[in-house]
Amino acid sequence: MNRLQLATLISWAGESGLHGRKRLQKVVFFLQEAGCPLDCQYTLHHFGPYSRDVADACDELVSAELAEEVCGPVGGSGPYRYTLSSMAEDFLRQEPDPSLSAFEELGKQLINEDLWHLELGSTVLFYYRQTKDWDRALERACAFKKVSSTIEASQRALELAQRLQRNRRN
Amino acid sequence: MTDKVFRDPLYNYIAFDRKRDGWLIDLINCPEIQRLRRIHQLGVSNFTYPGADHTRFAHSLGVTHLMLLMLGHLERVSNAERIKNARQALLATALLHDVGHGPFSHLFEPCLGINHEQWSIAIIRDETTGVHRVLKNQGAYLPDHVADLINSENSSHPPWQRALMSSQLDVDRLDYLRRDSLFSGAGYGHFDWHRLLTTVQFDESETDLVWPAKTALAIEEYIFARYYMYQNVYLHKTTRGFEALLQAMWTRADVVRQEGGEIDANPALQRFWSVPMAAPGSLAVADYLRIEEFTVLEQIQRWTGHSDRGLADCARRFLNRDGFAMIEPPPPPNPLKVDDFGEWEPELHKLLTANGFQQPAMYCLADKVKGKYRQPYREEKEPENQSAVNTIRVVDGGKPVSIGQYLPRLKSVIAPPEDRVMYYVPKEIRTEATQLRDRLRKA
Repeated sequence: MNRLQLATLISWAGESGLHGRKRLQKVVFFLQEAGCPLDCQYTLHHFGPYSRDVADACDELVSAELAEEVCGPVGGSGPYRYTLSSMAEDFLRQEPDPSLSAFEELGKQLINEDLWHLELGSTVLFYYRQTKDWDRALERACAFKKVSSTIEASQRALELAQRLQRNRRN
Repeated sequence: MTDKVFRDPLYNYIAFDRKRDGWLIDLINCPEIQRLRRIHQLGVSNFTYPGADHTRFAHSLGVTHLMLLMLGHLERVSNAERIKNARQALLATALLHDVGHGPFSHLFEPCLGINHEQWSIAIIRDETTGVHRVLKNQGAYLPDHVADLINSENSSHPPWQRALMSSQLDVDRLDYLRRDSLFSGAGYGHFDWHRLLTTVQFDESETDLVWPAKTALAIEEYIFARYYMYQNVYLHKTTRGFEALLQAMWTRADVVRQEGGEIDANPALQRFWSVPMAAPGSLAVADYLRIEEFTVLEQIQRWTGHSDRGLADCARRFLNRDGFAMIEPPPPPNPLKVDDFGEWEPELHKLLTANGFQQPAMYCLADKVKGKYRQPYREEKEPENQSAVNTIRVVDGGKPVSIGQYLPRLKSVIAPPEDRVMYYVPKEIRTEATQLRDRLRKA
């Protein structure tokens, strides 16, 4: 994922910015699974799929003063929030990334999705890639996350994963 | 029964207990492991540091030695049964983690379009290889377990097993830093490795690894060692220049080949080029293993007399260590597009052509180093996303905290550097290229 792509993604979050590095990780994971050309490598982490590429790209954008990072809200210990700097907004307006425009609507939906659904859903999808079996993927993901596979939240996460997989653009 | 002993300049003696680990000696004797004796650990770093001639074989033995020490320690201080159950798989992973490397290690991967991790996994799973047979003989589960631990995308096994082999502080890094420092003669890369090995412990969840606070200074030393080694050895401008030259030569050969020209390929490379993809499944493991450094060097020797002027010139420059000059490009006009230098490359091509270089793309080599490859250590910022794989953590007041938080003075060293792009051009045009760069900077 390059700077332009990440800046585009952050811009989709609007003025309030993108809340949480975990959310960013899962949004990129899902977008990639939907066929978005972001090219990040993921491994399974305690909190679902995790990519160092995403974390690095985010830190690089902040370091280059193209994005602003705010730690908060409670005593500076809450999730980080990312907004674009005005310089980055200007450059993005001048030269937008056409390769991502087809994914804007999906990206916005994912950014506003419930974090737990993103977390569990991405884990389900991660296992689905290995097993090609939704029941087994849900079972393994729920065992990994130590939650029941029959509760509503788990089913919502499964639906999210399946929807993304169905709509994949190749 | 005596131990099998290797003399090693880092550890003096590397000993394997024939009774307990005789299978490991059988594994070392497999042709696929012996092949690693013929692969330079640091690619063409010996063009810069003449002593850097050490091999993947010595490194693999060193990593296995460190894994033995670390498992011995964990067996003593934690649930011994758990360690014993994973012992064979982890030792085999340590020895085999680089078995898929091709000529000149990482350097040649973009030339051949290969990924050594994929090939390591393929070699371990391939029933015709010696290493597969030894592993299977030791336990039917072993080939898959070892392949899973090498596969960075696989999560079938507990995080601590993966972290020992591949994380921010693992046995692979502990060996190569000190080994590369010793053989390059660069003099960096010293740290208290023994303390790091013998103080690691499980966290409260018993699935992940942390260090006690008393080890914090040893961790700091380790991070600085990585910093110095990256600055002085791994990303040395001369080495990077020869790496770029080798890649340009290979790209040119591929162009000649695809345009129907004759590239006079030796049999091993002919076979390699006859398949559509250099990936497992497309190319047989046995064919992949035939591509060695001497195969590549012999091929380059052949090309010195090739009718394609650029190919022949690059081959000659490479063998004679007649490198290019490095030049920093002007800043990219759009900071969101760091790979786009605007007029710089087209103008440089014109300059090359005007100076008689008829294939300017071959003589204008961009060397792009991602920021993460210049960062000695990075850690995940949000505590809840942290694990041994992405963060080194020490236990402070009963809670694990990242080393960056525990030692805030590390901030400047672990801050993410930007991607760096350098260009390499023939020395003959260095002055004019510098003037061009300065002109574009002002524009």
